[in-house]
Amino acid sequence: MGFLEPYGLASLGFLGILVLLHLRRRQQRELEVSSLLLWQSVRDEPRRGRFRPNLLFALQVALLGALGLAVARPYWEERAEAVTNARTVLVFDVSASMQTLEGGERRFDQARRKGSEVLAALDRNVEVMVIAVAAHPRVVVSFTRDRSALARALEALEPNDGPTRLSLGVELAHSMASGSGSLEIDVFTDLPSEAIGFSPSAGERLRYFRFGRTDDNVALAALRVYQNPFQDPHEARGYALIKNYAHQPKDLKLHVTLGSKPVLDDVLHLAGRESRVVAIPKLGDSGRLEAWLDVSDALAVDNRALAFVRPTRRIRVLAVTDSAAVRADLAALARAVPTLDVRTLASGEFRKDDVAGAEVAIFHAFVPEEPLTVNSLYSYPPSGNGFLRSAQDVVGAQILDWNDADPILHDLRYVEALPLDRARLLELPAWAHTLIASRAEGREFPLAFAGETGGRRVVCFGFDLGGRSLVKSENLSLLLVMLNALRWLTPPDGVSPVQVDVGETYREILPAPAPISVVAADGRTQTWPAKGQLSIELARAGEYRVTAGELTRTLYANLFDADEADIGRSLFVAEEVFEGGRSGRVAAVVRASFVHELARALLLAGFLLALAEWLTWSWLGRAWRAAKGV
Amino acid sequence: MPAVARLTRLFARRAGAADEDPFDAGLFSRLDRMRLRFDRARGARTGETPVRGLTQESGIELESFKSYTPGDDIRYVDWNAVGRLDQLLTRRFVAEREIPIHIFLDASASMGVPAADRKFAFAMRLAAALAYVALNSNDPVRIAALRLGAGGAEVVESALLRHRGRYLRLKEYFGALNPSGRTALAEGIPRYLERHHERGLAFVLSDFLVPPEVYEGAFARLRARKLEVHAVHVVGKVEQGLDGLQGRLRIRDAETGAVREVMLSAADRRRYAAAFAERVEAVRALCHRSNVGHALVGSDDGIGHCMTRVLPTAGMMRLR
Repeated sequence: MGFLEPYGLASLGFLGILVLLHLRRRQQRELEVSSLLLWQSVRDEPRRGRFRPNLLFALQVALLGALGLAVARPYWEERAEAVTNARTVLVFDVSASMQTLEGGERRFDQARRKGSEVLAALDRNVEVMVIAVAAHPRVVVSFTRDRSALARALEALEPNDGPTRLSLGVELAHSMASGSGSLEIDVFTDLPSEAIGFSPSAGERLRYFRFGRTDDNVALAALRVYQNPFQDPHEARGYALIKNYAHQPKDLKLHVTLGSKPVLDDVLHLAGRESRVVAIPKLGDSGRLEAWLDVSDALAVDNRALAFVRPTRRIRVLAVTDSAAVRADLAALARAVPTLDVRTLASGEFRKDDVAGAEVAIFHAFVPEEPLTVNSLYSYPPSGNGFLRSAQDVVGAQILDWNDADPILHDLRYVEALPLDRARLLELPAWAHTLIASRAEGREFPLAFAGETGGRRVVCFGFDLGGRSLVKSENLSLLLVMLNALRWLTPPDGVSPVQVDVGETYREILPAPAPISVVAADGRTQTWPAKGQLSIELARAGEYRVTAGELTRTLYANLFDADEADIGRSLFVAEEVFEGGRSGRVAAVVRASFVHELARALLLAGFLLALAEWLTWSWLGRAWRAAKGV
Repeated sequence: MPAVARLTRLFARRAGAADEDPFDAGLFSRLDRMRLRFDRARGARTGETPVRGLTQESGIELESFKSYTPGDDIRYVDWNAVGRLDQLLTRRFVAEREIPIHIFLDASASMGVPAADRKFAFAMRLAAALAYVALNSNDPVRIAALRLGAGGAEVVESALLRHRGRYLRLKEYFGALNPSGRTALAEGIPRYLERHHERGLAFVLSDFLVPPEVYEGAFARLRARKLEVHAVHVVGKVEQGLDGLQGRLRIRDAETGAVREVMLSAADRRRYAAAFAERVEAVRALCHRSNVGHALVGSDDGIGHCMTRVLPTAGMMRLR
């Protein structure tokens, strides 16, 4: 027993003042009376001395004592004879699949109950950490011997709607406990032990608790709206992929609404493990596309999905060229693609202010001298410009390779068919990556490259667009590359919602630091002070509304994760134990003591005593007034 | 009427009356209309007070006739009756005697406590007023202050006053009195009676804070000497209600010096008030049994009120 603030004991001096006040109030008065005959009916004062405490005084003493001791912050030190430095980490899988109902109870509830049992069975000297793992591992409670704190943390733990990366959680547990004594990692999940790919080291022990067997789940595995930037809502097409993960056939209904208008109500019968793609017709309009399944299954979180049909958007393109052929091609392209709005200028007419209204600029055989802020496509840049360094013209260049993972060349099969009558030999800038690598005159050089510099996107084609017509059928590859480049260069639509998978982190650079407010899918609101970047982890499926200064974003978080939706566990092992090899890392015995501070309990006692004192005073006052007849 | 209610009414009378001066000329005019009332009391000496049932040969009010017997003074033979009836008859008149008034004033220490009640001062003024009324009828008055001192019973007597002109002598007498010692009703009254044998009317002014046998014995002595006795019970307001007193008290008896330590609560105050009322009622009942007149007066009551209302109601005074 000791005091953290021993000088606080001086406050107990108030007890003396209280006693003095009590004695003063009880001071005896001398009184001369005419005769004691009249006083025979009055009882003598009991001979207990002058100091005669009553209930009120006792409560006041207790109250002052409790407060005085609380000021001194007493503590009670419990010395442990032997404390090991053994540690245990409880790793809980909190992914979406843990929400699966097994006989009316969630898998996570079973896991939590088992975790509590494991916690209760542990020696109280063992330090315990709790880690929750979904898309990312998170330390819920760091190493502590406070069992009540651990129990509270377990009670507060809930599964989210995201995928799981269980191996990261186990790795985190391993790394957090490295260098300590013996370590035991207890994993609570519905995944098989192979999912973590972890082998305990020497002195470590891995216990693996598994929960869940049912495979009764039908999921919306995908909801997609196919609509490129050049298409309006009438041209958009929607598709939903429904998959039955159960081995039994399932009957269900699919409902789809666009905005508040139903666009599809379909009755489906899916055989065991069958998938089916359902086309959503007659979109016709822009708005929020919501699909959900009316089905009885064990996991509900994957029965609903969101997508968005963009409204018509006109893309303003400024083309600067002196070539009549290129002008004619771009005019034909604008006629074929109604959302493109092409304005053409000769190089001699170009002024820097002309790019102000454009979203994309195309410079053919021309590079402006002044730096621009608009996303730009350069074709056949002239030599001697200050932005793109080109050495010389080459003829008959051969395409060696291309980056088919890049969105500009994505799904393009016949890149070799590009017309390469004349090309410029370019040097690859530091900010760019090669799209098409080519060879001519014994040298390899980038025929096309793309990148971001100065806050804008830049695509550069070394070949001359004016060599062949864009709109002729033999130059289809050139047309596709051109359109892909325009699509990549088109700035993102800030109004339309962004479709994101649950568990991912949405990031966006803000124009200026601003306070951020996020209304999550479950209705909870989170705010952050001014930051320069949005970074939001989407843990729940549904709609998120983000506000950062004047910028607003709507995010649609969907669970399209086959690993989470495929909840069936054919081979079920309730508990597995993996022992590491023997080593010198055994639990050491150290001396330690537990300090229990009592100030909070004393303050609580003080509050209760104050209440009791007030009630007693009130009761005595009422009795006194009743006696006086007031 | 219950004793508590009587006490309550008693103390509800007008404030400031306690300060009335018995030697005030204004009060005399009110007292001039009053005289003492008595049944059997009479003195031996001829006075001005007619005594029913007692005759004398001469007087003012004819009472009866009687046959002449030898030895009767022939001056009182009614010659008209002799002429009409041919019998010698003598006239008998209502005797007029003086009524000696003995006023016993309890001068013990209890009459001075509590000081706020001023019981002794009030009793002195009341005694003076009674003396004035008696002297107004040319009845002799003697006041005796009784107390029990260290040397035994002390009886401080005034001179026997026979005329109203001597009334102001009482000022000097009262000025020398102060309450002290113990109550001496049992010892002082016999000593007084040893020296003075006149029959008459006795007033005992006291707070009667002694055991009942004390004042019962005193009354018996007075009545044995053929004195008609009136007890005037003086009580104080503070003494009755304790004036909201509470808490730890060390109380000391003003007469005996005995000490008690009590813890006075509201309930105790109620018990005290009940005991006080019982004590007043006990005094009244004993007076009733002993054929002693009883009047309860409050020390803050006015002398005029007492003389014109309270004492007449108790049968001790009447209008002329």
